[in-house]
Amino acid sequence: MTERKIKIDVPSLARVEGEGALHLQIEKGKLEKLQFSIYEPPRFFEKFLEGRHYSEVPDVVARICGICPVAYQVSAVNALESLFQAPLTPWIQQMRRLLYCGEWVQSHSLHIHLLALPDYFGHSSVISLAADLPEQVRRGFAIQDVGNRMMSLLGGRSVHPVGIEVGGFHKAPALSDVEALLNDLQKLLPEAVAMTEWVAEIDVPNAPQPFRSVALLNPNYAVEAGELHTSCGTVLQVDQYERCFTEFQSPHSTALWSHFNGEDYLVGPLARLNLNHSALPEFLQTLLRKLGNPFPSHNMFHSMLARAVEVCFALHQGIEILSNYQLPECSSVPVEVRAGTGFGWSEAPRGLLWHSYDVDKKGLIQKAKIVPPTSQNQARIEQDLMQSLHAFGLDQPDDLLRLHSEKVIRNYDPCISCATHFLRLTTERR
Amino acid sequence: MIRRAIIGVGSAHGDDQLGWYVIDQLQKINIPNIALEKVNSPASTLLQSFQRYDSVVIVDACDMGRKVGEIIEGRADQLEISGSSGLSSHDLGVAEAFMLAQQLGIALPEIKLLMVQLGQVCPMQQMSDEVLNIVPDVVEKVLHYLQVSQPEVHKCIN
Repeated sequence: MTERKIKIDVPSLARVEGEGALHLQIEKGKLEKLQFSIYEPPRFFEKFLEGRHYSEVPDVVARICGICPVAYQVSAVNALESLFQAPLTPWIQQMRRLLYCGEWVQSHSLHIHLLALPDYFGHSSVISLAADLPEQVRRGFAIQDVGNRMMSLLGGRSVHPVGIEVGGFHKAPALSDVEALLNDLQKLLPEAVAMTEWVAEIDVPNAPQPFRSVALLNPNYAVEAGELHTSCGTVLQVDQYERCFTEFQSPHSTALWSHFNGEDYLVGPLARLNLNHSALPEFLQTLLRKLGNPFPSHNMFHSMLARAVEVCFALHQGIEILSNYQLPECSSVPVEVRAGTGFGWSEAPRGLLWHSYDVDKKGLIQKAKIVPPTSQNQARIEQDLMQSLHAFGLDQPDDLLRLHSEKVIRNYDPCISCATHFLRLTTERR
Repeated sequence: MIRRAIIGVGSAHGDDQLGWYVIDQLQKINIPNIALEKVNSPASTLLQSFQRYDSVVIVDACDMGRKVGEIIEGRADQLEISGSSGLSSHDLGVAEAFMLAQQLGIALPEIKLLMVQLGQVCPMQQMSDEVLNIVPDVVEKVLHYLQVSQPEVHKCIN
């Protein structure tokens, strides 16, 4: 018998946020071992928070991620405001949603144009893609920019914004700033719809597979708040999360894994759309029907379209909220510290983000727990790779196996820095 | 009226804070009709800025293989892309922004580059003394580009 062993090392996988590795061991045409590894060092944010005053939490957690800082801030203030029973005004709730929608717009547009699209047009990066598709790339950056400006309106800046405080916002935006942004949102929404129609036409693999979707549900589409639902019928409130979800250490990853009742599950735009599609506004329902509505879908390659739909949704939300904008009497409400444990969650661009904080009577954080979406998706990514690579064909050349693996992983838009960057691939064939 | 901006490119890490820090110092000086911007992920933001302004000064800490704290002045066409073929958002720097603008047919405004050789970019660490000490000189050069007379510059910074 002849034995062939091939080893490939790719120092880092491109077009994902962070660094990770994939090890494949193929023996006699069978996939014997598959490990999706996150090897970035742990970042210890939960430990940093211990002993800090609750008022510092939004600014500390914003530093966890440069792409989805608002998600961390909102899940944190949701937890603390819930504990303190803060009487948030409708204005504060609307502005939180607006700020969050800005983050969805910038993060999704960045992922579609910068990270995912080059795969489907035979390019290695957005720079070479831009030569072939200048109008589409230009449009993508314009959409991303307006998302950044939605974040800056309330956050003061788009990177690690500083506008949120426990109880509301430090400052209400001026009417002139709101008017200028509203005007731009109204110009960009038709562009986003055109982008969605274009994304829907891109030829993606038809590779359905069974998985469980987990997302918040909200009558107005889940963004900053909602009730947890799964595609298998489980419904949970925020303080019940740990009843069904378990974090654990996997030897090949520095990020904690998470299971739902012992099994992998999906969080993120596709899971969200699978569970919330009926909550989309009528114009998007009409658009989806026109595009042959694939949702709910079990094809992870529909994730890019899901992101495009959510970009339209978020811009539309922004227009609705800003069209009715009025200066509030006060941009925040006073909060009264209560000792105990607060729980909060929200739908980060990459999926469910759950926080809990133990707070003492002085308002100091005694314990913090943060479960980011990329951690939750790790087990699902491995399962997906296992099935996808078999379907793709293990006898394919190493370069094609690596590219297909990267495409599969990019569907999840993993933010590895959040979870603890991407992809060292080792393939062994025997 | 010419639309002008000073853009500080940087991050929260070590000497990479320079661009942001220079903007902080300029904000202490009342310079009329000049936009001051801090940028973290340069490509997407710079592309929009190129379309908004006629004249831009970009301040950025870079690794150019020079002595730490050395200031290099340059033009957009003097930068080279040194990164990988596949890019994440973290890899899209100033040079990539120029390249993208070219590919997308976006006309570049008048651009001055002020680059400072960095020493370390350790996460969440302070700037090194060598880079911090050069800030007044960088601010003076910016003001020189803008033809702003500002005898109080050093006082503001120190």
